[in-house]
Amino acid sequence: MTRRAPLAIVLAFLTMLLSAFAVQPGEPSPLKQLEAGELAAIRSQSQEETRRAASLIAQGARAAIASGDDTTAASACLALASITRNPIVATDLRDLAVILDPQRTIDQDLETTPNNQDNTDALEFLTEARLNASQDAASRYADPEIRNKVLAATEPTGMSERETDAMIAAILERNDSDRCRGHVYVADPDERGQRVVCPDHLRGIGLAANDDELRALVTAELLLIGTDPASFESSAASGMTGPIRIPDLDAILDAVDSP
Amino acid sequence: MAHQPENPIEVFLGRDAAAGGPFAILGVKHEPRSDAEIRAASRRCLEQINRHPRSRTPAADEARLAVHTAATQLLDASLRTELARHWPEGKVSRPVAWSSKAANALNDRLRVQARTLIGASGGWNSRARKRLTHFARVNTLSAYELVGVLRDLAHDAPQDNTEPRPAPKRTHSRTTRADSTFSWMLASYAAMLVLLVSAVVLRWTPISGPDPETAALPSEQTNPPSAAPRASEPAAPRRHISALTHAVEQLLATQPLDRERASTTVAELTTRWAEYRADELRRVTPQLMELIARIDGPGRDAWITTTLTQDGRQRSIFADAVLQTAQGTAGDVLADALSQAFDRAATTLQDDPDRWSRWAIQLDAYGRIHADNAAQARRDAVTTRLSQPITDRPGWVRVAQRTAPRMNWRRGSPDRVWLLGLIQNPSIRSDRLSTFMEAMLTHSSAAGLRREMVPAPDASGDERSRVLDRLRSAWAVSTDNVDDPRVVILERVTLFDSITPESLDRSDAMGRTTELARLNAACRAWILGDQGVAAAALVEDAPSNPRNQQPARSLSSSRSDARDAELLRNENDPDELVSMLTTLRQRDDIGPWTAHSLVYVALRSPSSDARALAQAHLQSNADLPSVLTALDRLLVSERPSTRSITLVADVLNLDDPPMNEQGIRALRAALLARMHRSITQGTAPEFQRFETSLTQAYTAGQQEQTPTDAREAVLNARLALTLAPGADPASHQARRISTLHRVLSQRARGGLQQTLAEQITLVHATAHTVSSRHPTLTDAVEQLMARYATMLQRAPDTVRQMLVSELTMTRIWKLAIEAEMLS
Repeated sequence: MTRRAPLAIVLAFLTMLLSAFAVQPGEPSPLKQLEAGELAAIRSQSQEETRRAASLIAQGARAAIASGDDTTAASACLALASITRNPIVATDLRDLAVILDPQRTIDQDLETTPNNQDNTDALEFLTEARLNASQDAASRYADPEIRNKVLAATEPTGMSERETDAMIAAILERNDSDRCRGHVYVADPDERGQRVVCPDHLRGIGLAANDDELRALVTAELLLIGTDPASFESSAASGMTGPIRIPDLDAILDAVDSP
Repeated sequence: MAHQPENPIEVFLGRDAAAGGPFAILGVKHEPRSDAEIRAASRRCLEQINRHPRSRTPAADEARLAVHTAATQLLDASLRTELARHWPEGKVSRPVAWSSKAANALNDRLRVQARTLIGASGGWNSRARKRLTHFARVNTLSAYELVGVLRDLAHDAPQDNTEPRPAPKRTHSRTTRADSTFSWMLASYAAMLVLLVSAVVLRWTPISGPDPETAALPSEQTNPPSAAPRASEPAAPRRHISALTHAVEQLLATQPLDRERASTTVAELTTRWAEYRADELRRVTPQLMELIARIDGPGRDAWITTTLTQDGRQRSIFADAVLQTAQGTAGDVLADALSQAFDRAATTLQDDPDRWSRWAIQLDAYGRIHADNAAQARRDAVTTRLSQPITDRPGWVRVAQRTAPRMNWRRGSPDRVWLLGLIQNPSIRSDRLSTFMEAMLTHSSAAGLRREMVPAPDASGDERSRVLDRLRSAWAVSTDNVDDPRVVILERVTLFDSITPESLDRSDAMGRTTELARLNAACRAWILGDQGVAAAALVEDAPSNPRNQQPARSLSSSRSDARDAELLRNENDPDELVSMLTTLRQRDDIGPWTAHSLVYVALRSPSSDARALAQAHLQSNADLPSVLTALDRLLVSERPSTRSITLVADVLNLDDPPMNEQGIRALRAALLARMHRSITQGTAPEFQRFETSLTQAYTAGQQEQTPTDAREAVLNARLALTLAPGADPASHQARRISTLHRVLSQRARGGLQQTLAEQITLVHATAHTVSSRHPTLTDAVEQLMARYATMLQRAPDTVRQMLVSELTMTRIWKLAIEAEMLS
């Protein structure tokens, strides 16, 4: 017993020394977390792996915001935007990234917002449908790109996809049964050379079937051409009284973290 | 004068009955045969009292009470046994305090103290009697003798010359005593003693000396804890007032102050004040107050508290002196103590109108020195009562009627703000609030208050919110002259700070948003140093007429429209065509079909006159949907020619666009915008009024060119902040705000949301400005911004988002203005 005592003391001392110099496991830096998440996202083979990668990036974003590292937080937002399949969340994340880090140059990302898109085809479709000036309107609306742009233009007015589809379908059906095919006058069958107003219309050409439909169509056309209703009254009359959706990073990160 | 002790028992039932204990009172044996015997004895005694000539006096009532009490005690067998042990049969014994044999000599000192005690109790009342009981007990005096002496003193008074009257004999050969004018005092005293002693005997202990807990005289309530002398201590002879004044002056001249001696001296005067004449007290009080002011600590504060709430002469002399002292050199020292004293005193007021009146009189006097403190003390006291259940409704009504008129209901007064806060405070009871506001309506000069602003006693939270809204509007939209913009700004900021956006419907939210925007405009101007604009912004403008308010137009075609259109379209004779067009121009409307024909004529007619006339007719009706639709069709359905594009541009009064795709697109965008405005006009007039009001609010007080719409007005406000002296547009935060603006603007759809985007950016700019100017406010501002983010997310529509934006700006400005006023 007495012979072993010095050995025990030496062992205890060595243990303390080793523990003092041992590498302490700690919280990785936000940047490390972000990099680990991005790497995991690249290597992910399944939806679950992608979700775990997104969760890692979200943790990095939280840590970066907590430590005031807005640049890393902005990077995390962009990383998440590239992973997510939800276009609305992706837009929010890109917007948050530029708010967090105004120095960042991501103009190409911001160009995905509706205002900056080329909506000429959708605008032409809607105008020609309203004026009955198109022979192939139905087939053009079948184009998903045109339809999506039309839907995006009617959404701010409070119209659902179903309501928009129903409205367009009704317009196209009316146009098909219009004998003047969008012309104001038709030849008078009784008097040679005389033109008479097409008797199929209760309202003038281009004025739609009723006031509500006309407002919806003109509003959508206006948005597609890149101009908004300016006054409060015209905005309200077009149903544009809903709240502005403010991007909320906490809510997004919570959604990413939840299984 | 010889003293004949008497008490109600002796007067009405004879001396034997007063020998001691309930058995003697009823005249029953210690082992009664039955309860019926006790009841019969009780009845006998009561009948005897009833036959007495003074049977309808309070003294008789006290004797009856003693009989009832004795009967009740003896009917309880266990208590009867216990009482029998203490009141042995056949032995007449009295409690020490009753017994003249056990009594000490009643010297002058004790007589003076007893008299002081009565005086300190506000005269001969139940409180004085109770204190006398203690006094007699701790000084081993005969209570009879003591009261007799006091009676003699009273008899010495010139107003008291009532002769005693003999009492009738009792059946059981008990002797009767002479009546006296002080018999009611003795009756009260004796009856109380009977009850007291009956209870005390159960734990009776021989008196070996004064009881330290009860020895302080007059009572601990009237003495400072640290300064009150004990009655058991040998009392020094009363010093002449000159000697006392000299002692006080000596103390004041001593540096440092001998606290112990000072406390003793203060106690000497304040406990023996009744031994001095009022003019003597007044002579010494200034020095006394100065001395009290120098004795720092809880004892001093307690003394002030009790002095302020005392009844009678002591209050009027000392309290006035305290208040006068607060104005003098010692005022600063006493200020806090006084403020706390009023608060402490307020906790004892309950719903007693007389107490409130006394307290309020002192508070009014205090208010002449420290108006703000006094007003705050009054508000606190009322707030406390408003949160308590009503136990004495008539008392509370009188309290409210006496208090409401004393408060300041003029504009700019914190009392107004306080009341508004109360209305929405759920811990405030509606029944009390209703009474208080009713008193305001009927007894105060509160301007703008109307019957419908008084909540019902059972008003719910929603009803109180409506009341709050009415009152707030009545008090906030005053068009009085603005003397001090800071006061009015802070008042209104506080008024609106309590708005709960979710409780307002859209129409109310529009109104509140406009009011807040005006207030924020004043705050911005104030902070930016433009005080003239700030003051002008606070004065309400006359409501402006909404521009071009027209009903929505009907777009249906009529029979005449089609006929006119066909005539125009088919007319080949230029003269006829011109004639037709001239006729048409006299009308102020163009039908959908006619519009198409007019476009056709303006573009295709061989007659230049007809083309010019048609174009002029189109131009003068260029806002009609029919005309715009016809022009739009021209741009879309035909291959646009230079002529057609020029026609459209001329009709719309625009410059000729470049003949390329971009030019045509721009032309069409302008045409669609005008058409959209045309077809929505008159469909949402409340939004048009809202925009007009909001634009006016943002430009309130400004002389510069009025912006064309609300969005531009908000933008100008933000630019003013950004360009303010000291602002750094290149800072990280400024760039971040700019980016936020870009993001929000891209998300916003329509003029309403675009204005909101500007407002949100302005909120951030305001927060940045205030934090930069007052770094100490950074945390508070950040908290407001965090709350703002939550409110924005929860708001159900744009209008409510606008409201919370303006509200947050108001709260931020409040912080800033308060900070600037303090600095």
